[in-house]
Amino acid sequence: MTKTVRIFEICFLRFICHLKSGIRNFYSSFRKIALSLVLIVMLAGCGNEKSKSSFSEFTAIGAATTNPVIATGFRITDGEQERLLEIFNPADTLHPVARFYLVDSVCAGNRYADGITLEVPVQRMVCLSATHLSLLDALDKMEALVGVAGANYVVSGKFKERVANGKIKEIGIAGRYQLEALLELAPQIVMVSPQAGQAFEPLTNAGLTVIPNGDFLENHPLGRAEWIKMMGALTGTEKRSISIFDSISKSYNHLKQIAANTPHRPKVLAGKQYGGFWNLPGGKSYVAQLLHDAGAHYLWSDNENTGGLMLDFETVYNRGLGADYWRLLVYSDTIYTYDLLAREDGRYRNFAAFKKKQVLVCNTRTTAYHQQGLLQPHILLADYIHIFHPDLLHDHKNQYYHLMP
Amino acid sequence: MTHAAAKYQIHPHNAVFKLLLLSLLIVIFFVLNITIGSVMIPPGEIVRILTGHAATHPAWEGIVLSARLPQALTAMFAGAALGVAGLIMQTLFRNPLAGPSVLGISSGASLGVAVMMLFITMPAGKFISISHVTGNFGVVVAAFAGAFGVLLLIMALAARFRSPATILIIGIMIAYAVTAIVGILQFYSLKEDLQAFVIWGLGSFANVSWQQLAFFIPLLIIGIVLALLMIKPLNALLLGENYARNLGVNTRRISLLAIFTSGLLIAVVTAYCGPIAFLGLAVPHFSRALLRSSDHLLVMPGTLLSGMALALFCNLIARLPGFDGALPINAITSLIGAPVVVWIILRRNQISVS
Repeated sequence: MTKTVRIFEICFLRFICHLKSGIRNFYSSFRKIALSLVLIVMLAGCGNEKSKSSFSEFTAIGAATTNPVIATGFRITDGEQERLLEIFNPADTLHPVARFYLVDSVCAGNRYADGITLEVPVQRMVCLSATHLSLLDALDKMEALVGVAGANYVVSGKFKERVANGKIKEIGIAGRYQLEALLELAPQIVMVSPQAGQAFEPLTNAGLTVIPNGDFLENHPLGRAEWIKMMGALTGTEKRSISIFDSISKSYNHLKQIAANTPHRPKVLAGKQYGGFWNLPGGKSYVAQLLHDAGAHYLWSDNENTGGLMLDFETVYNRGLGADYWRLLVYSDTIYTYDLLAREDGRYRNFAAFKKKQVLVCNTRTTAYHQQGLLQPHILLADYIHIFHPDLLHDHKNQYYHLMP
Repeated sequence: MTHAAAKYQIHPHNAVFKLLLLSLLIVIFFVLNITIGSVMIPPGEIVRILTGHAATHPAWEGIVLSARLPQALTAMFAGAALGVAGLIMQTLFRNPLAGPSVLGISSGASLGVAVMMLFITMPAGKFISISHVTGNFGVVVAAFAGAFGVLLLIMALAARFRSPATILIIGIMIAYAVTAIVGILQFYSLKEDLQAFVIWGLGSFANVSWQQLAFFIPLLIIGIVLALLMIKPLNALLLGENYARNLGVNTRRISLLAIFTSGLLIAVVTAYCGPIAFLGLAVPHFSRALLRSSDHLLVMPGTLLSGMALALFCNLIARLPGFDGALPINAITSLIGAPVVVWIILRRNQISVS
């Protein structure tokens, strides 16, 4: 009997011992974990006391050198040790849709309540829209690009070479991305063209930083080109981006001056019908601005729309029948001709511009209009002036727009 | 049967008066379609233009003769065709909800167009290039191929399965499958192509030129004449297939002919105008409620005329001054069609084909 009690006693004591050592072990490992946690936090904070407790404060010093003059879709403000990049919807320039704090190194310990902290220059970037590739190309920062949606764009030899080497991965087709392929690249930022109906929540939910680039929403051709400054601020090429924009804007304004003094402004019609509606640029769109600056009178310049218009045939027919010129953007494998145009709708033959053979067309398949036109508003303007006022720019060779053969 | 037979006898004079009234409405709406639009043209000028005189403003001539006139004719014939097709299908399938979209025929047309716009033309926006070569005609051929593909499938099944209900269910399933394929194609297509397809899908009476009307109208007239020839057997079918057979009607042949006729009408309209919503479903109900009858001898012409009148009315609303013609026709047909059906259900406390 006593023997069994003894055995129980031993067992009980051992159990207590185990329990004690277990607790001790647990306690020590807990201390280790806690210690390392504190260490991690301290390391992560780089000894900066602010970051441990609260968010940093941003004190604006003034507009950055890259702050746009014409573009309304973004703003860059200098702070004490960081820069604030705000992206706006051009229709509402009071409330930014996205805020990014650009810092030299995340280790500086700055975290902000109202924006995303981003280490610049960005080393790994994905662009979902072809237009932004030409910005990187112009800034000679192609090496920051690691992924694109659709690699068959004509941008530059360097781009093609890096795609061939596998340094730039294709993570989707035609603006659509494959989330997993994108995540595998682990880009610091994903630059997108925020268009209606496209959802980028999957990207942000997966922890990626999405930067909306609203260049196409700008209503002034120079405003569109000015977005190169945002790319400059992100890739550490501010000076270069400023000088590129300044030279674009200088030659644009020079050409505008030349065309401004012309006594005769030809009337211009634009667009054609798709599915029963005539699609044409709004009166306050960048196309309308270009036509105006080229010394032409766009027939819908009284319209207040900044995007596109959809009108029925008779409305356009009534106003545009007597137009001197007719501007078209087409996508065609072959050379676009009057015959092809008339085959789409026989009523096109009645337009004066058709009869006078004064239809100017830009084929977006054979020209880099969508890829590079954004950065070359001065060339677009020169093309227009050369067509509308043949006596003004004798030496210019048209790149985008041509009178139809 | 006695109930149905009794209905045949209700106020034929009254009904003829109503049909005449409908014809008058068509004339009024047609004239309004020619005179009212986003561009204001004085009525005197329109008379001058129509009588072959030169207008004061050169653009007006083109607007009236090559925009408003073909569009009004297109709307008129499309409305008649869709209504008649809907009526045939509602009788054949003994289902008040049957209509052009139900058998999958308009979905088939969409598939044809989607394949052409989004798939065959794969590398970046070639649809626009194709339309350079063929004009609208490419779309028409594609829609026709798609619609008739589905139609042949349905007819093959109809020859095999006797029961209209089976065909109806298979038709609905085909419509779902086709819609799914269209969805997949849309997902993998480019923005430019997609926009062209979406715009086609909105439907429009404005796309048919005079040259195309030369195909459009005769094809629809063939379909409508076929439908008019089927008035008697369709009446027999209303009483049930067994009664019809006892009356000496070859129900199988009539079913095939009815499917072919409605398919032809829907395919032609969808090919040229895009999928036009609701008219095919609503017009037969409107016509039955108006004439208080289900006798095809009355309802068929009634549907024909009210289809014309309703389509012209919708086309008028979509083109009212101030909108700049930017209202898609499908929005209008559904907005007008849906209340019509609801009103009929509320008034009759039920909805039926007989």
